[in-house]
Amino acid sequence: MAERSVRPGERLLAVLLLAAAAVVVAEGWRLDGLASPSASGAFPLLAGAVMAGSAAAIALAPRFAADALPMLPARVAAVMALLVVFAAAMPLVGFHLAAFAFLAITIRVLRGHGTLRAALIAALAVGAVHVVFRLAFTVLLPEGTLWR
Amino acid sequence: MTPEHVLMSWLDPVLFAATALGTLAGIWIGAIPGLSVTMAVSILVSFTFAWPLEPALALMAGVFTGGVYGGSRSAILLNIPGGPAAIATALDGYPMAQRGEAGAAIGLTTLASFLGGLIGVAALALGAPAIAEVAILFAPRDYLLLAVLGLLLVGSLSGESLAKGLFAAGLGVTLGLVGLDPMTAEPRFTYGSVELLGGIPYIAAMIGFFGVAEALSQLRLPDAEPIRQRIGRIVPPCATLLRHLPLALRSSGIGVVIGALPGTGGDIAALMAYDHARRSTRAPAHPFGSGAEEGVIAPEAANNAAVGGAYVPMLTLGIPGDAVTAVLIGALFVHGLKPGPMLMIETPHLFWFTVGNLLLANLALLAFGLAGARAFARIAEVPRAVLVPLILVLCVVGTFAIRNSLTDVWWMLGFGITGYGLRLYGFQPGPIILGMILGPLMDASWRRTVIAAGDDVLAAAIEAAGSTISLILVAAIVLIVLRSFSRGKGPA
Amino acid sequence: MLTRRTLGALAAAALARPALAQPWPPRDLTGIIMWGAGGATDVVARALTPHVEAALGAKIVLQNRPGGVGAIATQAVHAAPADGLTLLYGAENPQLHKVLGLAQIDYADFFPVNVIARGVGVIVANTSKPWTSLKALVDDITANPGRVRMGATGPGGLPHVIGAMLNAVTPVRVIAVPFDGEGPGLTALQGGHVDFMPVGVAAAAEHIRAGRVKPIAVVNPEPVPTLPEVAPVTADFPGFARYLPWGPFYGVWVKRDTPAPVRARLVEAFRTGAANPAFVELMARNGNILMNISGDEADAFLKRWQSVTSWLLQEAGAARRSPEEFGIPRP
Repeated sequence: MAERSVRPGERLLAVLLLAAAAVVVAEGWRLDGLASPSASGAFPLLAGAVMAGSAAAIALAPRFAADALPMLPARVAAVMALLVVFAAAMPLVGFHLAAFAFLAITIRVLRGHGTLRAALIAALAVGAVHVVFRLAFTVLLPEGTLWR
Repeated sequence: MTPEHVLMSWLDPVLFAATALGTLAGIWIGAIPGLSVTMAVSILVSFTFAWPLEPALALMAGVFTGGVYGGSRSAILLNIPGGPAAIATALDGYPMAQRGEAGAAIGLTTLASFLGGLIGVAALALGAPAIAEVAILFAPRDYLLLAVLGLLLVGSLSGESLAKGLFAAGLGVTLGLVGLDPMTAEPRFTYGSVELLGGIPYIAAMIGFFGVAEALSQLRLPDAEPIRQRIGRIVPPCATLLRHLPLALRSSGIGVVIGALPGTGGDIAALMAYDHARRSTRAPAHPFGSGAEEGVIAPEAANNAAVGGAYVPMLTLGIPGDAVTAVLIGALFVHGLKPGPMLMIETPHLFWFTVGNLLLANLALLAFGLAGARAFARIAEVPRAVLVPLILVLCVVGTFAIRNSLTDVWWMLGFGITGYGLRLYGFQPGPIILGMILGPLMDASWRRTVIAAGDDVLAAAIEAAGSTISLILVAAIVLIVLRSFSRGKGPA
Repeated sequence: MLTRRTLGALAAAALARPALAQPWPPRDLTGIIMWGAGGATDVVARALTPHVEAALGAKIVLQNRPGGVGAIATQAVHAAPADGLTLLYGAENPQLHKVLGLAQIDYADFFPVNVIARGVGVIVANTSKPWTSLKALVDDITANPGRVRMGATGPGGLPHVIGAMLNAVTPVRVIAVPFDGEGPGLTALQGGHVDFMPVGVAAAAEHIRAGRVKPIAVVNPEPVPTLPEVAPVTADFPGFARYLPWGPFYGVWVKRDTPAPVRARLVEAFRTGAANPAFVELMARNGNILMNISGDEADAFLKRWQSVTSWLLQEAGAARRSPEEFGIPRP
């Protein structure tokens, strides 16, 4: 196995996991998880307990084999940001335009192809999605509130 | 037996075409994450409204058969299961594609699916009434035990750290419980949101944790040449097939039984068969999780066998074996039939028509599956800079399509970005999805069991001790746990 | 040049146009079904819609948006514009959302385009049970408290409400085991995991005909055509009469403030569609009673249903909030 190293933020992550477990346990408690074996809260409480136990185990022994690559390279962060913008823009400008822009820009940013080729691929992809989802599956893709 | 009805869809050109086209369409639908067979079949109910019954049923049987199989395509090539029944296939199928063996993986899954499908049809034709009678004997406690059996898989899916796997499973169970408690109508984890009353669809989580997280993780790797696929050989050599035949047969058996149970379907069947393959295979050529052939054969044989299994209670008792057969029952009704226990007695030709039809659909699956394998395998050769953006758009639109909800898209993106982060710290997506699938089943089955025993756990246990099915399931769980301990691997 | 002002003027002109100067509908309609694919509401919706499309001359794109016993779909249609282009295909559930503490929206916020049909309940039992009448069942429960299990489908569901009637009319208390729906409940009944279950005639008719479950009594003042031999509940317990007729129902709604001409157009199209002989036959075969009512007549039906059921649940201690809080009158 590769050399064991600790990633930055590993202990912080364990704390976050414990906090998540606490939220689950709290909901189980609110739902009277201990009141009866068939209560609404019984399984949330159980799941929360398992999460808390394993989070504690992770906190005590946080090491694991990590690779040496950067954790969040610029291009991953950029694509994440574009993805969020895409989803946020979809209800406003509609799926077709948002998806076209996202595809063209992302392919360009990732240096897949030149601008023209990227735009062409994007247009073809959006067309294919339209045929399959909108026409065949009658999924009402967001049309954009800006144009209403 | 009425052979003319078995052969009906083989001899009538319209029915033949409907079956074949349905299967082909099903493969594509299944391969696109977010487009589900259930959705396709319910659209077909409206679409074929004015048709005669037989071509409508032929089309739907084709879509069902092809769709369950198609999910493996995207699982192998992109590490995004096309549907929940293909989650297990991704675990070893994708590493195979990474080795340049996408073609071989598709070939194996096609043959395994075909074999599983045949065994499903055989079980339907030969043993339907008997299997259905056994299936309804499964009590809520037996579903609980089945879910526990499935949950033992967490050990295999955890990767390096069991603690992380357990945490992920607990998180998955929690996510699965979000929404209105089906038993008391109490909102759980909704914090006042009406949108959350309907829960978080586990397909959205699956697309996020597998699809988006995987696509982003690929960008993290330094630029590399796309993996050249060796696509010379799609159909595996005879020796390989013979070696895997016993496993494929056992997996198909699991698929038929789990598929025939009214409370479980192909997704759970595939996961259980994968677990079985891991436990029963001694010295695989490649370890499980890094491209074991056994790891794609078992789930694919099981999920297609579950198709025939799901038809068993539907055709004999009018009880759906899974979500798709529930829609099919609605289709029969719309077409003027009375789906129920009398269906097989009053319209036996329909039963034999379905048997012949499913047989034909499986042959179409074999033909289209092998014919399209080379072209499909090329997808893995598309440069990342193009493939990743396309996958991301597909993830977004696929999630939206589940129930036309933008909120689901945000959940999916949240899961994707969280999943990317969790991966960096050695968490696997498998246990989360497993928890989401099995959590609600366990919660409901456990509570039904206890409520029926007057809120008395001891009374419920005593009742279980008097049931053969429950005892067999308990024995299976104990055996598996003991064997893993004796191998010194810890539980599961 | 297109300035914001000209755009605004264009928009105003578009809005000022009388609603039906152009042929209505201007585009495809959306029908949101509040239950999942294959469920009773889904089947009724998908069987009816093609006939309505023919009468309307436009397509209705159907989508299932299940969840929250119908609250999600109800909320979604309520959030859409009141232009009649978004239809809610629903069942009785939203009428109980207020007292069950699930949502503040019910059918009072919608205009009933059509209440299509209503179902009747029947109490069925596992065939190995000795009971031949409701009285025998009630006597057995009284003699063996805590031993007889009733299949159910969760709060507000048909078994729950009929169970509440049983509690109100007779002194018995039963253990209710909730399943995911009537189908899974009937399956458990046949497997012997519960002993009896009140269900819709539509779901049980074929199982009764095949002799796989045993009918005990129909929850109706008189026998129903689908099950002519089965005694009504009122035969053994006349006290049921004050709740009856009662049953689940299916219908189509639009937002209450939809323009009147649009409402009228929809009402007409659905009335024609629901009167199609093929659909009428389908409903009858399934043991449903065709209603095909709309407007004030449907509103009156919905109000009575809500009043009877809400107060019944309140008396049975199953309501989270009193119907009084919402001004729901006593029956």
